[in-house]
Amino acid sequence: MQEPSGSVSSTSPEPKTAAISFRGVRHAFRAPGGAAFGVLDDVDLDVAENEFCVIVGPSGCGKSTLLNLCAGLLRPEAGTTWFRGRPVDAANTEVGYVTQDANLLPWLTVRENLMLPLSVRRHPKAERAELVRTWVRTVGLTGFDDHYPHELSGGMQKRCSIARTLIYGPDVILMDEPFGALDAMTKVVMQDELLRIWQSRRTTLLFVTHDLAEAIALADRIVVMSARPGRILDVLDVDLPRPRDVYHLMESPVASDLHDRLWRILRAEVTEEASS
Amino acid sequence: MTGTRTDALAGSAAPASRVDGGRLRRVLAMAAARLGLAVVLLGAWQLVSGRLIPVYYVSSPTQIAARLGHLVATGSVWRDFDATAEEFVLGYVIGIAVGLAAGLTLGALPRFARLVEPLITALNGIPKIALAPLVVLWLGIGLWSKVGIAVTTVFFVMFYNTYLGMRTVPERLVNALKVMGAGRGTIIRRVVIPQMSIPILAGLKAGIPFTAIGVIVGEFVASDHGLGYYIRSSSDNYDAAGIYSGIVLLMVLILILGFIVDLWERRVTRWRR
Repeated sequence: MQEPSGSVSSTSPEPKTAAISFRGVRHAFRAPGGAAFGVLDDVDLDVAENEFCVIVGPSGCGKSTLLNLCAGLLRPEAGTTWFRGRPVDAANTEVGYVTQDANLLPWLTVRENLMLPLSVRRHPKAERAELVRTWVRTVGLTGFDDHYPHELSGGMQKRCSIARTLIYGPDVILMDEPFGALDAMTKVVMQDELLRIWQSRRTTLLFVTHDLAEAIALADRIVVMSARPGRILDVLDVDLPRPRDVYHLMESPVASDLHDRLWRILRAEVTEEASS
Repeated sequence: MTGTRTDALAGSAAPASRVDGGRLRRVLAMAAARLGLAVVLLGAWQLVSGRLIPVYYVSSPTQIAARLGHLVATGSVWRDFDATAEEFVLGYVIGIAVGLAAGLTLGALPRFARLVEPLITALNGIPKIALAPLVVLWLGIGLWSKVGIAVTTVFFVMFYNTYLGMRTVPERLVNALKVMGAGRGTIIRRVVIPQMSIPILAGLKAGIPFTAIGVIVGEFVASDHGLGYYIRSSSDNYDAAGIYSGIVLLMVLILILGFIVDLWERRVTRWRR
């Protein structure tokens, strides 16, 4: 759609147009003993406004770290994370962040958890209750409004957490394996729902997954990362028409061809990871 | 929190009234079992007393009951009970408040906490009974010396619970709220305080017996009334029934305070059940 910016990443130091830009980003975590292990190695990546960009890669390759950098929860050891032309140097409140853990507040009910971002962001009081009702329905939690997180299954918590982010309509959304905990059926339904939201709101999405079919179903562009320390191995455009039918997507030859290409790139990384 | 919500578990299809009926039965059964246990223990005590163990060692439940009846009937008990209750409540409230404030402050200022932590550990290591004569010297033999000693005992319990509890505030929840756009105040109100209700409750509960120790030690060291004084003077007269009666009254006081804390706990931890 609308030229999903095909260029991998320009090396110009000050990205102006992109929503999110990583420039020469390097990061390492230090074990308590003092030994550092690299998680990101010299990552350059631009995510355009309104783009649906999906990052795939073996586990532990720094995908989540990229999102944490963009959310401003982490400072890179080298390089810069840019957000709409400004370097990110504090918690980035312009993004919505669906983390890997649901991170719901355990002392609030589903309804109260969804109310929270609305009150934090001073959403008009009159609209709050209706919005919450709508989103409870959208993520299939009707009847569980007054339940506490520990009374929900893992998948339900996850759906609630997705609703908690989408409810306030951030126009840049970071998602870290949001559908990982869901069963296959619910997963496809949620992918479909997410595409519909993205289509209608034209938000920018940076989405992490290790599910290749999911990446193909959703993305304009798929960024393939190496095993730790994560480098960008390749960036593939997904030339599938929109709106997409996620239920029958893999029947398309373009999609299965893409799946093969992704798998070829990643296979070496995964086996290397497994043997090390 | 809404007050009207029923506590039925997720997926429980039973109507609320039936759930409540089942709960009532369970509560009654537990109460009956507790009563039964008490009767068995008291019965055993009564049997042993005067047969296997001399009465002047262990008194007996009937003797203690008679003494308590006498104390209450003549009203002579209230002067002692009231004095101890007043010391107890004041010492508890002040110790809890100061411990809480110190724990929150040091928890929020890790660098300063590292500076003073060894000092606090050292002070906590002093047996409070060794401080008691000093506190009496400073605060006199009246109410405030007992309050002072109780504060030194309950303070550390509350302080450590709060201080260590501050480390359990999950950073991932704080981060989630930061990205959401929440400021410091909102994060404290929505994350820190609810999370802290667990260690704070632990401190409140553990603080009750420690307060009792402080108050009774204070009364043992220097006093002219109070339950500790009554126990002490009974002991001087080899009056076992008096000692046990004083202890029973002290237990009543502890149970009342414990009951109040339990009520509050039930309110604030609804989300965990």
